[in-house]
Amino acid sequence: MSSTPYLCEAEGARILKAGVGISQVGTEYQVQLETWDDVPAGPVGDVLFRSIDVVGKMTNGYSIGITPYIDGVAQVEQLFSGFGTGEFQAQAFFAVRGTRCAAKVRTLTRAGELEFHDISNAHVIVRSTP
Amino acid sequence: MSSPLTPTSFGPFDKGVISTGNPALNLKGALRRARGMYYDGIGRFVTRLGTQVVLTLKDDAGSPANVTSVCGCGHYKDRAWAVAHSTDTDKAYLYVLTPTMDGWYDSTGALQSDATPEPVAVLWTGITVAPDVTVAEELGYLVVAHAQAADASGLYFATRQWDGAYPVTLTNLKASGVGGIVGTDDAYFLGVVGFQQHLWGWGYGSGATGAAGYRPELARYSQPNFGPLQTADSITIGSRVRSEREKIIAGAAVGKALFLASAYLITRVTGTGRSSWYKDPVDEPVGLVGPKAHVAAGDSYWYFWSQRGPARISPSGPVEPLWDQIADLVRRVVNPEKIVASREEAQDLVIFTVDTGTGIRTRCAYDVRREVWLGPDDDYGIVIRAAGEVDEVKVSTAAGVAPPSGPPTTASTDFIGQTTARANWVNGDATAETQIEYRIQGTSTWNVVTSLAPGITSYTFSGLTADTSYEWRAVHQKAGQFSAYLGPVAGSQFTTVGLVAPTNLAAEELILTQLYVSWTNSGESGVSTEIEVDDPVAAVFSLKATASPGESSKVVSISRGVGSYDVRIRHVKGGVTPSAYAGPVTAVVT
Repeated sequence: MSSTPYLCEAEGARILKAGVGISQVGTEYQVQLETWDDVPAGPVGDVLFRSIDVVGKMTNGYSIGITPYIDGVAQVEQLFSGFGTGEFQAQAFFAVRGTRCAAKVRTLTRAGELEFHDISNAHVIVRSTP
Repeated sequence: MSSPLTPTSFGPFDKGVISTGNPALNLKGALRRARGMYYDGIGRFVTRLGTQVVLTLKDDAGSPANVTSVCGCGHYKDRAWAVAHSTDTDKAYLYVLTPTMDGWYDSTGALQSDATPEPVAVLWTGITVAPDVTVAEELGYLVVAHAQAADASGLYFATRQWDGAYPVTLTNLKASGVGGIVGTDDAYFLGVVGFQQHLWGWGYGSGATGAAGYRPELARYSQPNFGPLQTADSITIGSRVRSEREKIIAGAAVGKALFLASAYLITRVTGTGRSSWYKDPVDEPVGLVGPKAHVAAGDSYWYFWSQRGPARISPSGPVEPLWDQIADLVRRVVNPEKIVASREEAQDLVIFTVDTGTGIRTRCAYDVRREVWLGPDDDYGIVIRAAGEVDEVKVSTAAGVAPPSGPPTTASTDFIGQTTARANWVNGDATAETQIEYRIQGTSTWNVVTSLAPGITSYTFSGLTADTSYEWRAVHQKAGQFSAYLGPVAGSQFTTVGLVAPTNLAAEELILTQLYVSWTNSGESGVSTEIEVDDPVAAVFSLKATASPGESSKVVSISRGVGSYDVRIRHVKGGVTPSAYAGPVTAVVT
């Protein structure tokens, strides 16, 4: 069996068990993922980006925000949530032309575990560069 | 109609995270940043697990109050230790806890099952600032050293030692002696570690000399089995004498090596015992930032935060930089001397908790199996002072297997025949099977003949040899466990019946020199019949004839002529005691 990690509070009397449960003592903690840029038409290509698609699995619902980034500029964050257990999909639609696309995905609340299986973007290439 | 859209994954998300500040250094990562995540055992990228309060430590005041800082915890024998400090009492305390951190032991060793442990002993009094401590646990000893054994006020905090006995009594570790004898002065180490049955310490001071300024580059080691410290038993980690640059700030046993580190130097000590230790300063030394900024991941690697950032080293290899991929975070760390390294073994993580301006709470995790960083900007939620691992020592919680509740009793044997006999007993546990064994009396080997279903109280032996003494014993068996044996006792010893005598013996004169003898056989197979005749002159029986099996009459020759002849017969069979005689009957020859 593996050992159990414990944390010693610096300004208090508590010993905390780490690596357990889905909540955290103290400041709430959430997931935040940021992808690297995808450049589907080359470094100066022209692309119409249409959506950021997130798929994963939940054990007790999900509540996430998806922020598309086009050429480094954050678009409006779109919020998604669902209940239950199993696979989930979230599609943040937008229509912005640009060259590079990235995404930030974060959880807003956590009532269970989440797995992130894929984060992708959908686009139409208008003009590719060699 | 197909969509004109083309999907492109940002993933796969199995290569970890690379730093926002250094994207060019590692392009295999799919994620610029990932906080609150880890890879589970099969490589899924999942939300990380949280934390929960398990214990709240109390001081030793009349009405125990919460301590004000927890200074460390770790394993001790099959239990756990913790050290805490209270600014209300200006004391530092030692606690002994259950390995599952759901209870604690008082100073007498009695288990308490609540979550508010009280100390087993006071480590130091008059201590106004929470200490950073190192603890060496080995051979039943627990040795606690204060990382600033001499504080700014000139107060000395001797290295404390507990031998593991209850009620708990702490003693000061004694300084160097001579010839294997413990010295008289107290020792002041700044840190201790157990390595190969020896207690190692550094920053050594003794007597009235605190540890701060005396031979900071010197590591001392004890005699074997945590024995006395001897004057000459020491190693310097570098080449200088009394150099603050080579002041040892931490030590760690990793596999077959002991690492001793200063802020600018790391020395590896190898060998097998005090007569063979070899020190080997590591090439490209990068030093260690603080006494808690390191952790061993098993026997494979020692992870530490160097002056350049996180790194690791194996017991035999060079320093391997890990700082490149999170250089952005490394730049933002303040108070590096307070960095706390820990390990979440179940998640394969080494975690450096650093201060980025809000205290030691920013969590920076390295997945040691996938060799990727996760959550460089994650957050533990509270400010921590130390971290520790405890192996949960458990015995199986499976339901115990009940043995038979008692052995069989009251042996008796009946229906004893020539080849059969019935054994009887009273069950000691009617739910247990009964194993029956027998042997010929006087022999040594028991023969297991059967194992009977629960509830049965008799067994009939068959195939025995007639007129032979046997004994049997019985034992209950249940769930693989046996009761005591019943027998051999008088009731389980018996002798099989011998041959049965023939009956209806008759003898009469046939002619002057012959008698005609007839009888009824016992019916036993293979038995012959011996016919003996009492000679009227000699007045003794002598064997005159032996009838073959199955014969029931025989003509017997006699030689004395007229007179009275007594005739008797018996059954005989090879290897078996003959039957009793039938007769005698008298035949008169005229």
